[in-house]
Amino acid sequence: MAATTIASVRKSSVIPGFGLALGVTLTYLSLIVLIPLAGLFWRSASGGLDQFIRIATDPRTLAALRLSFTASFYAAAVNLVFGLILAWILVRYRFPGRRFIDAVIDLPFALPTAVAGIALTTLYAPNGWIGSLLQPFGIRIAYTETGIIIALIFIGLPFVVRSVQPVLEDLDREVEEVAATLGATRRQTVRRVVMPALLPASLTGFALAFARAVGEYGSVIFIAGNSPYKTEIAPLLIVIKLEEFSYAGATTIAVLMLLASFLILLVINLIQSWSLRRFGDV
Amino acid sequence: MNAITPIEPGASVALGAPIDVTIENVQKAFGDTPALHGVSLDVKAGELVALLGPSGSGKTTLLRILAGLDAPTAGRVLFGGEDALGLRVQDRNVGFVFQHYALFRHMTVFDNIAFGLTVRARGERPAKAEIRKRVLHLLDLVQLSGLDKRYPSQLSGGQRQRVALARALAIEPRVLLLDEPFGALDAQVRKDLRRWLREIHDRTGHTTFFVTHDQEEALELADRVVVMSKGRIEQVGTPDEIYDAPASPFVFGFIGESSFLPVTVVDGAVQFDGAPLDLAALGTPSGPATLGFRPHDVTIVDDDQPALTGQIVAERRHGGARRLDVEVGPERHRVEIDMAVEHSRREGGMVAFRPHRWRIFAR
Amino acid sequence: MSDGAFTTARLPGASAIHFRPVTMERRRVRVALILVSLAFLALFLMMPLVAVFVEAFRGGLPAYWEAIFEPDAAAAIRLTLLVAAISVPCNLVFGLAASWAIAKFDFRGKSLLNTLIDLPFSVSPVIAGLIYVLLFGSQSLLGPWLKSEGIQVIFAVPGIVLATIFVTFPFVARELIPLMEQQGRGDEEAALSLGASGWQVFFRVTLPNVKWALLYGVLLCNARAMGEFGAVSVVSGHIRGLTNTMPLHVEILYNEYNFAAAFAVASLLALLALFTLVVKSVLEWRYAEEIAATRRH
Repeated sequence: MAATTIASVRKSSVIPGFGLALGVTLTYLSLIVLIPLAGLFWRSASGGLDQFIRIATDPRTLAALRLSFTASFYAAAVNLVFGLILAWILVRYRFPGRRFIDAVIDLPFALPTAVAGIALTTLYAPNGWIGSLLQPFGIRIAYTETGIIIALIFIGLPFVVRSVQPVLEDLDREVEEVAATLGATRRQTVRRVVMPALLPASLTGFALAFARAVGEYGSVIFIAGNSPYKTEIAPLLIVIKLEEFSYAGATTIAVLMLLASFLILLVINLIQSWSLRRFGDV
Repeated sequence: MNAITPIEPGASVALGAPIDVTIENVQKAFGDTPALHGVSLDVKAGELVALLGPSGSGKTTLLRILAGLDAPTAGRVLFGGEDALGLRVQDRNVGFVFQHYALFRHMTVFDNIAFGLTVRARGERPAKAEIRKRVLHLLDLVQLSGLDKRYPSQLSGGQRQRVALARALAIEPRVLLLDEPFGALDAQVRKDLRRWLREIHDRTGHTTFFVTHDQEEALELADRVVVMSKGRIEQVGTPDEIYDAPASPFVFGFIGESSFLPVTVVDGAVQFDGAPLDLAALGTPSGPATLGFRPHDVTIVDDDQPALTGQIVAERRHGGARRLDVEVGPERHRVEIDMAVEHSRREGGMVAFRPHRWRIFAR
Repeated sequence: MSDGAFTTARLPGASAIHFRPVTMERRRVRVALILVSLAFLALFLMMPLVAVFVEAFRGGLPAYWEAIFEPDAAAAIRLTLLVAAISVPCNLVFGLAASWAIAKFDFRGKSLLNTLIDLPFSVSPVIAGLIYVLLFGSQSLLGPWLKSEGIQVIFAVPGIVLATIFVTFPFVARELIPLMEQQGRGDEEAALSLGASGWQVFFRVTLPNVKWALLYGVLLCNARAMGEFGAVSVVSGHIRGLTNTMPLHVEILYNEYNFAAAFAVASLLALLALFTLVVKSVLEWRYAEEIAATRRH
């Protein structure tokens, strides 16, 4: 990169190494992320709009996408509720094992998804530890949509907790005390003062968990049953199309999913900038 | 638009009658650490009382006990003759204002002020139109008319504190409690708000406690000042009493710049280092005592009258005067004295002086 | 007088003893919330973890060792270590370069760059694999040329490494950028004014300032690199003993109903996860300030 362009891009600083650092960053980013992703879009576009629409509206594709999005929504909703409770007890209460729990919250980030997948399947299969308890009541979890949701709850569990936790830690207790002196009951204070303050962080955590769940593959495919139109998630359909050498099919679904991801990313950014404008900080 | 204009006299503010507050031997310990050692205080209805002391003196703890945010370990608090400790915070009907405002960030100024009215049980809640009327009236009172749709983040510090006060006033509190209300503000805004709070108090007449560590603020604003130290009340009195007749070296030292010297009282006269100083100490029993004086209450002595003599160890400009650090007596007690700028005394030189106002505290 | 005062005027009743701060819920609400949380975590986090180890040792210790030391498993372990050994340092160097550029300089497009660095987090692992198949596979533009040159990327180690780098791309940068932005430029400018060279500043001032955050990021990056399944699955071709990483080997064993062996290999990955969590927690407790002002993931 020419020195003149660098000088025009950056503002003056005495610290050296800008050209090298930015050069390495942009080169690496382009080679690993941008060019391959652009290749996907280029490949998808080269097939033409008709082909794109035909694959996108194929009932099997639609069923897979619908399943992926609805299951992810339910899983993220469960994580929203329990994530708020977990963040609350971790920040506000002191009880034995609190630090241990704080640490294991991140297990889904650290445990390989395939390991989680086979473990959950073993638990929830009809002959598994939990599955066998539910079997007499005619409740099936593994190889159904419920199983998919359970796997997605597992992998999305830390997001809401970790989004809400720092905000809750910074939340000023005096605000709650003032609400009490003004006559608000504890319930009113939580509902009208605390929860609105946690809303942006909760929504961000929800969106992150949702985005992660939509793209998730490893933990789901073991427990899902993977039967077309019923328990076949969108990422699996990409793999199936690829194994059938249907590159057009794989790229079309991938592009749809990527666009959805970008949309979620945009929503997260909007939430954060809205919260920044309104409340002064996130 | 931030300038604070005086409040027009005669504007009416709907209020319940102010009440007396009685604090009886209130004690508080956090675990094994005592924070208040039996504090007692009677406050008349409508009084504006400053709780003045350094950090750790227990003043904020006392305020929080009055509000019901903390419970005392022992003692009684009476609001208008009724036991207040049996009441939950929510039922105590006190207006509390925090140093850092504690505004609800996600609510507009209007919703912040209306909060205390909207959380009331359905039967006691005023109608929407009534709430609106009251909030707008309070906004007018705190001179923030037109800012009702703003969010706290869009206000200056002084404006936020005024919203916090309006919010506390909205519930028509029986007692108003302010915890370092101006502590987070710039010097100029502090001064404006101070005068303005005095005017609001004169109009609304709430029994008001405010906590401060700023003696100037306490003396300027309060009807009575309660000086606290280490969980005890050192002195209660009007600003004049506190300033002119401090009851202890602590109060004397806390209320303004001061120097102390160990002296001896012999038959009502003060001696330092065995020599008489010609300072009267009427009513002080004979024996060791502490002499306290302020740097500006000192006369430089040029003749042979009895005086304190010491070596100047430092000299600097201090406002309209020249401030000297002087070491006095064989034990080299360091005191500060002021003298007119025209005088010139060099560091290392000697100076003789005598306080023309002073306090003697028996030891 | 103070000593005597404590004995007088005790509060009537128990209100002082049972005083509940207004920012605290009733005891039964607190207990209920904690119990609900514990039940939720036990069901969704602890039971799967326990299941891995119980199933792994179901066939006894000898069967466990056999499953781990069997040649295909050993090859998978070696490949996993190799992939991590390549991809983690790559992302480490990138993370340092990116955070240096973003935290120490102001330039146009900085927030866009920040967003782009996070991009791989929001891309499905399967798509991460797919993009490299489209780029280097036999059907791709580069495919014929790669074939004539005898270079195999897809269904070979290079593809696995690329896919792993993609999914672990932001980890190190994500930990470093906020911390270095918060630390500002003062230390570097001071060192420069004292005559240090650029590299001296980097190695002796900047790097020591962020060393715990760097370790933290590397740790998370490594855990994900060794455990990645979806992306690697798409590019690997599942060739036993050659292009199978540990997670893929687990899948194959599981699909062959060789559950004990599958869980034996899986237990190694679970141990890695536990090790990661322990070190991560220790870092967070001990060096909270030096990792980040606010913990984010």
